[in-house]
Amino acid sequence: MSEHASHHDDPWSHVPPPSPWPVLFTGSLCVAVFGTLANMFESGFFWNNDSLVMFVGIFLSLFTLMGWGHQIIKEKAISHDLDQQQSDLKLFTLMFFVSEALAFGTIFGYYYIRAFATVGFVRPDDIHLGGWPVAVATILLITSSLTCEFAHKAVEHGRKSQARLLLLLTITLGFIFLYAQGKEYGELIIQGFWPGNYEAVEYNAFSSLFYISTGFHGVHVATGLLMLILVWLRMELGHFTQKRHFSVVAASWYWHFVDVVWVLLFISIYVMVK
Amino acid sequence: MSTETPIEAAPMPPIKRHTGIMDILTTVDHKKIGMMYFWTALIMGLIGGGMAGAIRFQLATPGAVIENLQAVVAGTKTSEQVWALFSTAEGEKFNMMTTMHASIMIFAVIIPAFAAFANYVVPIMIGARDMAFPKLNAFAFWLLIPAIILMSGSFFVEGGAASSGWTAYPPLSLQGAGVNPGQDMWILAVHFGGMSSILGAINFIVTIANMRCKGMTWGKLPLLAWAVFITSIIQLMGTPVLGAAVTMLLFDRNFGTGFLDASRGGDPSLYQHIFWFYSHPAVYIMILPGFGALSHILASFSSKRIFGYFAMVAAIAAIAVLGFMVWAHHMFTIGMPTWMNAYFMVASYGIGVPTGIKIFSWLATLWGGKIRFTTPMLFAIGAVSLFVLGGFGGLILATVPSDVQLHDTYFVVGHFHYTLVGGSVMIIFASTYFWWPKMTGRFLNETAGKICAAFMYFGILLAFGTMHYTGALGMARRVGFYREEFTHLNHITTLGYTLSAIGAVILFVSIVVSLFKKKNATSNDPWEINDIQQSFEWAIPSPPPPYNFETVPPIPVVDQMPKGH
Repeated sequence: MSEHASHHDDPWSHVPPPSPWPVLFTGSLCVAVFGTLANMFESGFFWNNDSLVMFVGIFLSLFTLMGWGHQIIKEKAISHDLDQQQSDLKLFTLMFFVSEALAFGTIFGYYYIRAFATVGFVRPDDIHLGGWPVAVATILLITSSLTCEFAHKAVEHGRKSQARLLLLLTITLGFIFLYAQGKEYGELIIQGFWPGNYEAVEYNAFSSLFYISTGFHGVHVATGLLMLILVWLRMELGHFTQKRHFSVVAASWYWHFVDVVWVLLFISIYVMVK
Repeated sequence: MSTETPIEAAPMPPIKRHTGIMDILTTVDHKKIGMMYFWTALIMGLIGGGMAGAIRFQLATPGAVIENLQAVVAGTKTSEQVWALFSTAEGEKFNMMTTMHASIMIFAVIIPAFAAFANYVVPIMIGARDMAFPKLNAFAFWLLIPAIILMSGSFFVEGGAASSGWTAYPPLSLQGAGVNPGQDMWILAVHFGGMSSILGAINFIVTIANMRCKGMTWGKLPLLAWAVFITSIIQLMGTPVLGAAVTMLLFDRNFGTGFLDASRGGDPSLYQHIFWFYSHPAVYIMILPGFGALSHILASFSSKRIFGYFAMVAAIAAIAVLGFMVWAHHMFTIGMPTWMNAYFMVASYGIGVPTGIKIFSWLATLWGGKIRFTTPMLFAIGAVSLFVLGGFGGLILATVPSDVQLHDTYFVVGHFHYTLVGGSVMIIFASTYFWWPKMTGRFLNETAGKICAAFMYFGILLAFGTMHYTGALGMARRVGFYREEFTHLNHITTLGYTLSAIGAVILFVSIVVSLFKKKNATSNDPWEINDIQQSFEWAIPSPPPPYNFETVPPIPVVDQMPKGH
């Protein structure tokens, strides 16, 4: 905005140095995806080392992403225009949530149209979805959203030991949620409720939707946990001050977002049965 | 934490810059990234244009359709034998060509070409040193490269490239699942391209919202920046939906899910709804930045300010909003309820209103102006006229009864090529001629440029105008064979293709030649337009220095709508 004029008055503001990380990260993603593709088709394209290429690609992707993050942390720590940065990053995060919301929205749209407006989307009668473990996991996830918010507030007020405690509690609750979800998956698969199971072909569309929606959400929980763990590590390293702690804000917003999506998923898939 | 020492606050050290190939790999400068987008689009444009050539080559002769059909009637051939002709060899290769021609032109030419100009010009226009997230900007560019590798590489795998059309409708796109990786490579390419789109879009939104210089209020924002801002919102909201749709396809093909495969309880028609929910807004992604650029070019060479600035901005926004509400006019023939057909028909007409506002504002900009017929101006005027013709075809296709007749014929192909080639590509050519002196300090040859404009304009008119007739007479698209009576019309289309191909080659040669000339656009304002236009990019040297501005931008920001309008 016009009030953020600081970056023009300061001769050293917003003069970004070159970075090798974007191209290296893209290259690593390339290796990972090509390896996965070759692996999927058992093509032996990479001299019969397709799995190796895939894992090397995934490792390199994570490594280059960390390198990129490291450069950003270094740069941000020494830059001058704090207000401009915070406002840029906040808008970035919000816009990112818009795109995430649209991706989840497509899945919800598919579910509601199939479940309430078309035929051939059969819910299995003999397989019990949900139950008390899922209900407890849901309550724990909502609780973790609260603890995460309090951790954020604690960082804002400079209460480090309280922030550490709440952050670790959030992370633990997140892991319990993932465990509960994995356990439910396991039980359902034992009962034959999974998309590739052609004996249950009439349930295929529903089970596909069930696994992609909860699975896509689970990936987001895992990502959120990774962010929270990184935030915790950076907090231990003393990176945050009362004014400069955007990672905490972003991780906490992300965690709330994941929580809201889960509540909607829970209501749609477990509660609102036609 | 406040008690702990933060990391030392020190002044930013002088920037170390690499040279040569390392500079290209590590740069985060929006101008260099813009040029990288431009070269990618140019090279992929030649490849995609070559694929169009392959399509025209196949359509140079009708194929033996009539004889074969007569043979079936006479009983000398079975229908299976004739079907084999369509589905093997030439037929299949033809389908790969149309699929990849479309995919490459959309994801690797038109979108990156506009990204090139947006990247280069918009940060300067709003008085910023760079994009808000320069590394992310570089990343968005680099993500295009795997997309291009996957698309081009898919020709060389077993079963060849994807051949189900750029729309990839199931069940056609489910064929060869688990055996032929071509379609899966296409899906992953769309993922890479989509990621690039989303990240680029977020970057533009943040840049334009937060990085504007002192005095650059929303009401003074140049139209290109407005167009890029609104386009970015469309990209941000549309692309994840496409990502979800093709992911469902990927899972159905490889992991046994049943989202879209009717034999496993899926709903193929829902794919079309999801796909077009993205892909109709996507056609505005491919034209709205062009509308912004067109406004600058027409105003510049009419020696006037743009007419109806606020109406122009409102029209772009209205097109973006309406764009999300009309998707099903692509699928009137799949058996939707009548009320839905009626709604989508009327809503699609609605798009004509804001588009009309834009067209008439451009005409009013020309009205009474001191017009200079430079090359960019010729391209811009050509683009307006061809886009209007494309729009008329759009009205006919938005009407349900006529669409049912014309669906999947060459009329549709002619219509969207009028808007995409006559509109977007002509504007890309105009923008290239317009901003090339700023980007490189060198003019492109004006005489060659005017010849190029003539070849492009008449080539497009001939090729795609004729397609409307061919389609109205009943020639089906996406089939490499046709009835013999369409031969002459197809020859005219091929002639039109040849003319516009010559035009494209002239542009390419001009660009290459200009690189070997010494710099001849030495002033800040080589077109001598900035007394009236008052835009930042014409107030700094050509090409602009690193980080664009030393301190605050050097000229005051003026109102877009001066007194008297």
